[in-house]
Amino acid sequence: MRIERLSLDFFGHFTGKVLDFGKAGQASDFHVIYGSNEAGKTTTMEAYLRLLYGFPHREPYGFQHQRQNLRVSGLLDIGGETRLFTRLPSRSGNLWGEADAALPETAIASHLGGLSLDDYRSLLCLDDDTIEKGGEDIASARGDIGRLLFSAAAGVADLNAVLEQARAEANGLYKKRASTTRVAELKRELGEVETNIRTLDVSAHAWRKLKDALQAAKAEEAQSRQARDALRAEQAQIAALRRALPKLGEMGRLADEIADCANYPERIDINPEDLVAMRTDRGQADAELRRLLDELDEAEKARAALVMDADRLALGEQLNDLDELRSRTQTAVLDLPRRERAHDEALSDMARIAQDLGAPEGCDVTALVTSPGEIAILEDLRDKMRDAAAAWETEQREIAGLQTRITQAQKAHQSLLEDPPQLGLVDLLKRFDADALAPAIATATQAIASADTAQEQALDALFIGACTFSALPVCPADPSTAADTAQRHADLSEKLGRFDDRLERLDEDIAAVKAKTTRLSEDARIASDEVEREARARRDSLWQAHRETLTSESADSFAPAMKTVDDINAARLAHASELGELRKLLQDLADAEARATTTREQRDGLAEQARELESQVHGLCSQIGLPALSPSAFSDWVALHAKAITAERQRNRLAEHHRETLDRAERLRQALTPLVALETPTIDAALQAARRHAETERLYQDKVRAASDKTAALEEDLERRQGEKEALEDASRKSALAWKTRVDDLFGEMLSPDRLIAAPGQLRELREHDAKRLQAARQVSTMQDDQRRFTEATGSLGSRFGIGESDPLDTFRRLRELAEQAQADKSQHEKLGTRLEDGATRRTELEAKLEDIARKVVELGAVFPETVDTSTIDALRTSVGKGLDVIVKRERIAEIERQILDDLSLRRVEEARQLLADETATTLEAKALSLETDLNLAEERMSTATGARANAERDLGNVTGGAEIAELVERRATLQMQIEEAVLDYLEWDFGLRLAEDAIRRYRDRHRSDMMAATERAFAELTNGAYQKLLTQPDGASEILLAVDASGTPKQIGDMSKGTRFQLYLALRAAAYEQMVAQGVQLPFFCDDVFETFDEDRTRAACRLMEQIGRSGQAIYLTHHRHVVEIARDVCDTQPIIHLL
Amino acid sequence: MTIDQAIEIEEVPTSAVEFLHIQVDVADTDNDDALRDILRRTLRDTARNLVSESAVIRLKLTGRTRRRWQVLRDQDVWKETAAQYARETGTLWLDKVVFDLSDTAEPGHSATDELAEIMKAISEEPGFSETCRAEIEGILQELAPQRRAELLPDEAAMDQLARRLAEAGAKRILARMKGATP
Repeated sequence: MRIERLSLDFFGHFTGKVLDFGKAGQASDFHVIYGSNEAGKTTTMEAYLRLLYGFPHREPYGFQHQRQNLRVSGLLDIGGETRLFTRLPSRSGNLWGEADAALPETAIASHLGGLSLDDYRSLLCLDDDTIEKGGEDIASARGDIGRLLFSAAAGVADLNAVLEQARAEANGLYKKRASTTRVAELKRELGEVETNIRTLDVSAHAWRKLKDALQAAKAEEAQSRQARDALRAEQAQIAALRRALPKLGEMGRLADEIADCANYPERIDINPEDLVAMRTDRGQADAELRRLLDELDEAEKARAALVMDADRLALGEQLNDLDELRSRTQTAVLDLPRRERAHDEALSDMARIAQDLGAPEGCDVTALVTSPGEIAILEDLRDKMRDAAAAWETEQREIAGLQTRITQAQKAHQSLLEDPPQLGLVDLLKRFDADALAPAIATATQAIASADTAQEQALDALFIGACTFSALPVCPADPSTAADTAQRHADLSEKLGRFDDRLERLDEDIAAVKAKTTRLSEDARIASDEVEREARARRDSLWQAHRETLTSESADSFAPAMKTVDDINAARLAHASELGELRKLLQDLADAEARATTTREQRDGLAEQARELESQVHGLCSQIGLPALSPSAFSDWVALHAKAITAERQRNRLAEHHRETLDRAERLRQALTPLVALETPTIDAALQAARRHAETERLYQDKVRAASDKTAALEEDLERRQGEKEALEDASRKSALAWKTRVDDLFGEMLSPDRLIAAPGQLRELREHDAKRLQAARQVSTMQDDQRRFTEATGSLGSRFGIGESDPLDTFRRLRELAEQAQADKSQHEKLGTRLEDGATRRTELEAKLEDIARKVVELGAVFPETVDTSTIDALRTSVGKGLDVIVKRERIAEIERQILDDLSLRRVEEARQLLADETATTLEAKALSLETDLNLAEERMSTATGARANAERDLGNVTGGAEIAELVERRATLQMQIEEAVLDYLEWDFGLRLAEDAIRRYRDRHRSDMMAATERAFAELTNGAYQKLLTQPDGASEILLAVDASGTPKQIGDMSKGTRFQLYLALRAAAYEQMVAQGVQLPFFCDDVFETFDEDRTRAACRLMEQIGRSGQAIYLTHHRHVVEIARDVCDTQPIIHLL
Repeated sequence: MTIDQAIEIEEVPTSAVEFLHIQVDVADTDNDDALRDILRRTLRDTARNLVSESAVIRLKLTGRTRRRWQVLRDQDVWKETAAQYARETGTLWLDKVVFDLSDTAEPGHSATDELAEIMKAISEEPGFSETCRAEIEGILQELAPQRRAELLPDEAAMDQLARRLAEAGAKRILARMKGATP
């Protein structure tokens, strides 16, 4: 698995932060995430872990966004397939895939190689903390390399602690011969329980004895209980008789009391209270009937007193019909004078307006009222007339203004024509086509100047020593000849050099040979050939002398000479080989000297040739005026000279090429010079000045043209406007005539058109006043009509009912009162009729009720015998009371009889009477007292027997049935089971631990070589070879990990510096990563600035290690050190991808 | 028998205590809180639906969960937690908690998984079985004779016990290792 993109949507201080790691494809998948402190590097690593494993319950990264809003998402490449995952903080269903669908946890978990969050953190997400923790465990692993390797590979940071704790727990359960284990404690308790059981157990004989005693006690108790019960029965019988005696007396008394009422009924279903209510009802009904009859009488009388008149009753309707007229009349009384006033006011307003409009006094003002249409036409005509007049006046004013402007424009034109600037330059510049000529001149000048410079430079290059040239000198030699000569001279010089070398070597050889001969002859003391020749000559001369004389003197003279020669010869013979060598050397010397001589002669010949060449060159130099130059220098000079010639020719060609342009330029300059007021100007200056003047000239001509155009346009406008003015004048006249004709048509002589111009609006006002006048007149007429009709109607009604008021309104009021009275009488009559009808109905009801009561009394009395009086309610009530009393007494007699029979357990009362026939209260009391005494004695006997039985039971219970022994036995069983459980628990731990220890050993054996080799390799690489080897040293049953330093000294982990320790831990992780990859698990490997304690060289090595991890998986390094980023870039073969936070 | 001659049967509880085996499926518990919730809920429901006044219960945690190792590691904590919840109901008494969990994930390729495989292999070896038997025989002397007879009625029972204990022990240790890092 690898991470392709990590999005911190809402996490820590990030919102929507995306880190794109891209597709895998490079040789190494190594990324460096760089960011300053607090930029969020650790946050990024934590976010990645959240994506894989979810959010913890307490989330430290929920400080900016609330925990429920946190979200992390990412693209994970799982087996070549890229999938999107999103992690939310909810409790369940918090892993989402694409299209926001919830995924099972296994969608990610099954690809993590079984690593839990903590495993991942301690193995593949290293920071200072996790790397150190793992490291401390390695240091404290007390040397078990198996555990160490396993710890590293499994990411189990504290394996020792785990195993030790498990062992401690097992030992806490059981340990042989230990006294504080759980099993030991339980056994101790078991022992105590068993002792107790033994103490409490008893023999079978004692138990049987106790059992017999209990049996006897039980029998005694039963007997005494029987005796006591018999006495108690007797006592009860006596008590019952004592209770029955007075009851029999009461029974007889009651029977006597009801003896004469034998024929009274057995049951009476009459409630005396009902009879009381019935009597009350009858009384109330009687009283109400009487009152009702009185009321009916009175109502009848009142109704007879009321008189009903149909005419008066109809009056109301008529008055209602008149009512609207009345109300209008009443309003008109107040309104009529106001309306009349309004009419008059409208008329006076109209007269005033007519006067304002100039109508003659006393004319009919209504004749001046015109329709709104006419007024609108009049206003339109007046407006047109006014507009026409205004337009004509405006036109006149504008024509006057136009004439003034024409005059001004003509003056301006004239003044421009009178004061022209210098003219003609524009034409001149055009004639020479100055715009095209100027750049051509510049090009030509520039080209020639460049050629001049080149020529000057070529001439300068010819300067040698103090020799300078103002013009190009004539050179008699051509460059190729000069070069040839120089080449030949160089060849000669080279050969001369070679000969010199050879001569030198030969001279050295000769000197060496000479030295050798000298040394040889000195060493051997060999007389040289000259010495030998001299000695021989001397001997020969002495011999000659001796021969001649043959004297002893001569002989004596000859003898030393002879001996010398002999000595020399003897010596030479003795040193024959040296002599031979000497001879050879002398021959070599002669040879060498001969070769030296030949060589020297050849060299001298060559030197002569060289000198000849030099003298030729010197001759040429002096011819040109140069100092004496070497042939090669001369050849160079001639080459430069050829270049100078070329430069000169080039310049001349350019001058020829641009001659025409420059001639034209010169002609233009001469033509411009008198016009530009400059003293011998250059062509550029002249052109510049000329352009300025030409610009002025062009402006002037534009102005003159504009002034002339303006005058022409104004004159044209004037002509047009004068035509328009005449048309406007005509229109104004026509509209004035139309206005006048219309006014005359409408008002004739009454109004003058001129007065009306000022105020046609007053016609509208006049019309409004007329409308008001007409409305007021209409209202007045209507009101007067209403008043007349009302007076007539009330008058006729008043005379019919005898009312003669003067004011028709008063008459109407009186009539209304009359009608209302008639109406009131009618309703009273109707009300009384209703009351009489209701009273009759009620009377019938009451009479029926009284009859019903009487019938009930008769019915109720029927249950009693004839002799009993039941004629009235009161008599019936008395009879009922007595009957009920008889029934109660009969029941009491039956109740007493039942009690006596129950109490004495008898069937008939006669038996009870017989039983008590001879008894009295006194005899019965005496019997009861005697029994009391007997019973007390029996009770005492029985409680003694019960005590004895209880004691016997207790004694027996103490032996067998007691809970204590049972509890102890139960406790024993419990303890035995607890011991069993503890033992099994211990065995479980023990077996597990044995298995683990064995398995770890096998794991070590299986992986030791690979892991050790990988760790060793990584560690050597990280320390740049300072630690080449890792060793394990047996230490009792375990082993210690040692690192061998450069000097061959093994070092324990505790003795290393912090940085080196970290490097070892990192090496272990790298080796573990390699193992995981070999097992097919590839997961991203994060390091959070763990290189901080590394020096620069080791940081380089660590970067290379990360790159290497990236080759088999994905490595991500988070740092805030710029130099680490640069080192990573520098040392990695495949550039790491740098991400900035 | 009612007046209209129909027969009605109803259960009338007469016992004071009942014994219950309760299985709790913890497959959906992603964290400790969820597991605690499900334990509390199960025990409360059991207490509410009790026929008798009180009950002695044996709790069995089952299901496939990815937190198997963590639960096994902290089994003493879970036993105590369950006992406490039972006490809180006032009517339940916890006898025992049995853990019968399986892992969701396929066997991984981590070192712990490899170790588990090695442990399994060792436990099946005759040598180890022999060691276990010797250990059991030695320690059996600590038990009362009747317990011994009940625990190991015959030869086969011994092997079975040894195998069971070794398997459970291995799981226990692995659980500790899996969750060793705090």
